[in-house]
Formats: sequence, structure tokens, C-alpha cells
Amino acid sequence: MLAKLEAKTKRMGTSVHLENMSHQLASHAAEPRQLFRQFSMQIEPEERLAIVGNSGSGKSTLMSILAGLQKPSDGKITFICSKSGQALDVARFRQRCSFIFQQFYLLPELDVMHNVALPLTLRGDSKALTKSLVWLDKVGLAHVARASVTSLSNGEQQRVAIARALISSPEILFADEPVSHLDRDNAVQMFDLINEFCKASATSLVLATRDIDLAKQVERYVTLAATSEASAA
Amino acid sequence: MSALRGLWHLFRIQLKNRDTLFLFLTLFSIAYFLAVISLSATPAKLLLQDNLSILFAAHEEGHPLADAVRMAKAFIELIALSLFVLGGITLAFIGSRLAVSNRYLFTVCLVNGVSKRRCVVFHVVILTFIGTVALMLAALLSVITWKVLCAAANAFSFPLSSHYEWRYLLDVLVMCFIAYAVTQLPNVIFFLKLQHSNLVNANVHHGESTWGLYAFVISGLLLCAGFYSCNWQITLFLIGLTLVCLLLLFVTTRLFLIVAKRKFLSKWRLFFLSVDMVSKRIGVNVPYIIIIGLSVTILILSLRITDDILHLLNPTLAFVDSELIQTNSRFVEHENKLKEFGYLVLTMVLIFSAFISLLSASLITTLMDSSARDVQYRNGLMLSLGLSNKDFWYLSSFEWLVISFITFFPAAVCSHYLIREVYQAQLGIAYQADWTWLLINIVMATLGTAISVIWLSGSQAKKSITVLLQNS
Repeated sequence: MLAKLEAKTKRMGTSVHLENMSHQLASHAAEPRQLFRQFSMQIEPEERLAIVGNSGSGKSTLMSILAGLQKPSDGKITFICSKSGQALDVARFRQRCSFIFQQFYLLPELDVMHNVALPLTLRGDSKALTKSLVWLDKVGLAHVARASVTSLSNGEQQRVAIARALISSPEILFADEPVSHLDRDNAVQMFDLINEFCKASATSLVLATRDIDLAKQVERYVTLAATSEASAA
Repeated sequence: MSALRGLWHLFRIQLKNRDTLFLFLTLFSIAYFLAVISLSATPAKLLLQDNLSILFAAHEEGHPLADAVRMAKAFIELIALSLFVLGGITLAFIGSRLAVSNRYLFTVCLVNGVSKRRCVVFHVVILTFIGTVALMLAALLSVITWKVLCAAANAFSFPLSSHYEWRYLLDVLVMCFIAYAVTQLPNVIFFLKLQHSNLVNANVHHGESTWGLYAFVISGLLLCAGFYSCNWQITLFLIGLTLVCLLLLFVTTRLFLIVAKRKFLSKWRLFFLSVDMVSKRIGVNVPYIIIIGLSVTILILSLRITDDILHLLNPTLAFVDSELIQTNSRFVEHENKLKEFGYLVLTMVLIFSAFISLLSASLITTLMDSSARDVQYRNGLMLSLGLSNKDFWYLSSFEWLVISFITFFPAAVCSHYLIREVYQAQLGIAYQADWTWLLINIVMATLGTAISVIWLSGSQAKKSITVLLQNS
């Protein structure tokens, strides 16, 4: 069913509209911590944008909200299929996007190859493993395809996470500090790979980073202050 | 002095750990229950001595009460053995969870200059402290409970001697402490064997690295239990059966793995994917599967035997009530004593059965809950990768049906042979294989487990994905 859906909806272009979003984090302190107040922004199809801010400014939370992984405390988020102009529900939107998590979130039970193939496996793609080998080769990890992910270094795990996000050819790619665990050369190489992939496949890129130089490499960037208000549209 | 201060700080952190409390409560409840039972041994022995001549006479006359008492005694021994094994398994499981959480605490200690040996010593000290306090409290409360029970019984004109022998109480406490030490030993060995780098990197999965030790714990417990109940025949049979059960577990798992190789058949894609998931997680799930399988075996065994013993005892007591007077006038004057004795036995059988059922059920529930929490991270990840809630629900259902089947199939075979052996060796009666009863139990257990975990997984699907991922 997912495979059929994927075939149908492929490359239709999706935009995300966030309106008057407020979000607060529950804490043990007396008052919850306010992260966003009346914050609005939108992501257009094929757009590449970066979210920049210091630690604790809410970059990862904003990414989660934009990707539909988390609901905001208040405000409205809409996912719209550009071709049909119709709103998509969260589940359908998630089938069109990919996420590179800051903490990687790899499955320790699976080896490297199966971790990369997981998004395609869930969609019932019979060539999932072949494609995963191709992507592992692109990120320079073909030689550890059969290794356990727990035996890899943090940098290698991050490259596995990048391969897993790109294998499904998403319409929107959310990348939360995608190269933070890599050395300079590898970081440049991996970011180029992500950037080139997005350009070539008309994929929107939403990048969260503390590195302003990295942010300048995309079309536009949004800066988050301590408590972000309606600043970013 | 500074070392002691450090130890005190670690101790305070440890007291905030939920698993410490669980370990304490489990040991306390097992010791408390066994202590209360052991305290009742003195008046039971007195009652038995007082009425021994009557029982002998009854036996010579072929009175069924003597047989019923013998069966009840054998049953109580068996249930005590089962309780001991199940309690030991619970302690081993909670102890291993405590060891997992302690690994992170020890990592922090190690990177701050505390030696590995001191960490292990601290682990042993905290375990000894938990064990000692739990057992002392259980002993104290059991004596108070016993005194209150006796006072209540006397108030209702049911004469019950509150006299007890310390030796019985001490026996129980020593046995509980030995079982506790045996169950916690693998975790201490785990820390001793663990390389410094593994401890710091936290890359070793506890479930995978210690499942072999579970087998050691179970065998050790069974040996203890055999010693405790003085029935080596049953103990050896249990050990053999556990090994056969593990073999069956291996075979059924391999079969599912072969099926999993045929995944991606479009029509049954989700089913084969779920089988594949089970096979990928089998290393993590094996301890859960073994423990749930054993708990189910003991639960089925105790339910079946309790049922049969009660059927055997009740008509016997009815016989004592109605026909004894006519059949043998010698027993008339002792009728009240015999009835009192019979009801005491019946009460003990019922209390033991209720406790063992409660313990098995709570252990199974805890394990299922723990297992569902283990897959929370994976579920969150799969939802983030675009799996719809409907497909996620199907996947969880298939997965848990497969796990339940792998668990309960060996448990069913094991229960059947165990019940047959127990009936022949302990109760001296022939076991009529009731396949329908066994099948109904297995189907109910499989569906019950699957439905419970599916419900737990369903509730996870309602949470935000970020929460699922971060809670891991």
C-alpha cells in the first residue's frame, strides 16, 4: 500500500506552513519554559533553508514540529501538496519527508546495511538492500555494510544516518546538525553530498545548525533568538 | 573517610533508582509470605502431632482424609518450590535491570576517577544492604502479622497457638538470602567481566551479553529448590525440561527465521516484515521469552494442580462431614479436630495458589510492559520514517502474535510433561491428558499477551514521535 502511495505521490512537491505557533517545554520548575511565541514561517517546494541558533534556542524542537514529529502547544501547521493544492495529513506528509536526527537513532539490532535500508523495507521495496549498498558506498561506508552499528564511531554512525535519510528520495529533508560529529574534510564532503542530492532531486532542505558558515551555503537562513517571535517568514 | 563520603553519595543516588525499590519490594514480599507460612508450621505441627493417632487410624481404616492430607502436603511443597523458582526469576530479572541502570552511574564514576573495583564493591554493598533490610523487615512484619492473626482467630473462638519456633523463620530467611545472592551473582560477574572501554562506551547490550547467565540463574535456582523441597527427581526433571524447552525455543525461532527469508511477498509484506523484526530482535528478546515461558509453565501447572487438589479435597471433607459418623464411630469424638485440620490444609492450599498466580501474573505483566518500553524507540523511529498508524498497528499485532507463539508453544509442551510427572511422582495419581484444556490455556495466554502488548503499542502510537524517541 505504501509502495503504491509512494509511486503516486512522488515528486508532487510539498510546502509546510507554520502560523502563529507558540510552544513551551514542560519542566520541573514552577513555570514551563517558553520557546516560541506567535512564530510563523513556511517552507516552499525545492527551497533550501537553514535554521541557525545557539544551543537551547529551540532548533531541534522547531525541526520536529515542522516535520510533524511533535505538535506545537498552540498555533497551526499545514502540509500542502503543491500539485493538487490539498492539505495532507501528518501520516501522509511523513511518507514524503526524511529526517537526519542529531542523535542518529539507529537500531542496534540491525546491521549497517539493514539500518540504511529500513525506510525502503517499510515501504516494501524489494531492492532495498541493493540500494542501501549504493548509498553506503556514497557515504564511504561500503566496507562496514555487515557490521553492527554499535561497533561504529559517532562519525560513522552519523554517515549511516545520512545514508538512511537520503535513500528514500524524500521531497523534504530535515537535517538536524547533520555533520556535527564529522571531521572537517568529511563534514564538507557529506554536506556537499546532501546539498547536491537536494539540488539534483528537487528536494527541499531544512537544516538546523549552529555553524553560520554552513548556513550561508543554502538559499536563506532563519536565526532563532532566545524566545523566537514572529520573525522568520 | 572521603571514600565513605563518596559511597554515601552513591548510595543516595541509588535510593532514587526505581529498580532498587522494585528489588527491595520483591524480596520483601517473597520473604514475608514464606515467613508467615513458616510461622504457621509450629501450630500445624502441633495439630498434626495431636491428631497423628487419629490420622494413622484413619489411614488404617482406608479413610480418604489421610490421602488428602498427603496430597495437600505434596502440593504445598510443590507450590513452595514453584514460588521459590518464580521469585528467584523475578529477583534475577529486576537485578539485571538494576545492573543496566547502574552501568551508567558507574560510567560517570569511572570517568571521574573511581576505580572499577570500587564500583563493583559498591554494587555488592548496596545489594547486601537491600537484601538485609528487606529480610529483617519481612521477619519483623511476619511475626507481627502472625500474632495479629492468632489474636483474631482466638477472638472468633478458633483456638490457634501463637507459639512459633525461631528455627523455621531462620530457615526461610537463610534460603531467601541464598536465592537472592545466587540471582544477583550474574550481575556482579557481568560487571567484573566487562571491559573498561565497553563500560565507558556503553555499547554492550545487557540483554545480549547476559542471557547465557539467565540459564545459570535458572539452573542454580532449580538446584536450590530441589534441595529445599528434598525432591531431586522433580528437580532433575525440571532442569531437563528447561533444556528441552530452550531447544524447542531455538527450533521455533529458526523456523520463523526461515519464513522471514521469504519476506517481501507483496500480499503478506507486513507479516513477513514483522517476522523479520522478531528475528532481528531475538537476541534481545530471548531473556524475556525464557522468563515468560517459565512463568506461564508454572502458572499453568499451579492452576491445574490447584483445581484438581481442590476437587480431591472437597469431596473428602464432605465425606468427613456426612458419612464419617455412620462409617466409623471411633472418629465421632474427633470429628471437630479432623474438620479443623482439613480446613487448615484447604486454606493453605488456596492461599499458596492465589499467591503463586499473583506472582506469575505480575511477573508476566512487568515483563510485557518492560518489553513494550524496549521497543518504544524503534516504534518511534518507524513512525518517523513514514509508517502510518494503521500499518504500525498491523506490524505490532503480527510481531507480538509471533513472539507469543514462540513463547507459549514450548511453555505448553513443557507444562504438559511437567504436570504428568508431578501427578505421578508427587501425588501418585494418573494424569489424564486434557489437550482441550491445555489448548484453551495456550490460546488464551497467546491472545491475552498479544492483546495487552498491542494495546501498549497502540498507546505509544498516540504519543508524539519525539517523546517516543527521547524517552528511550
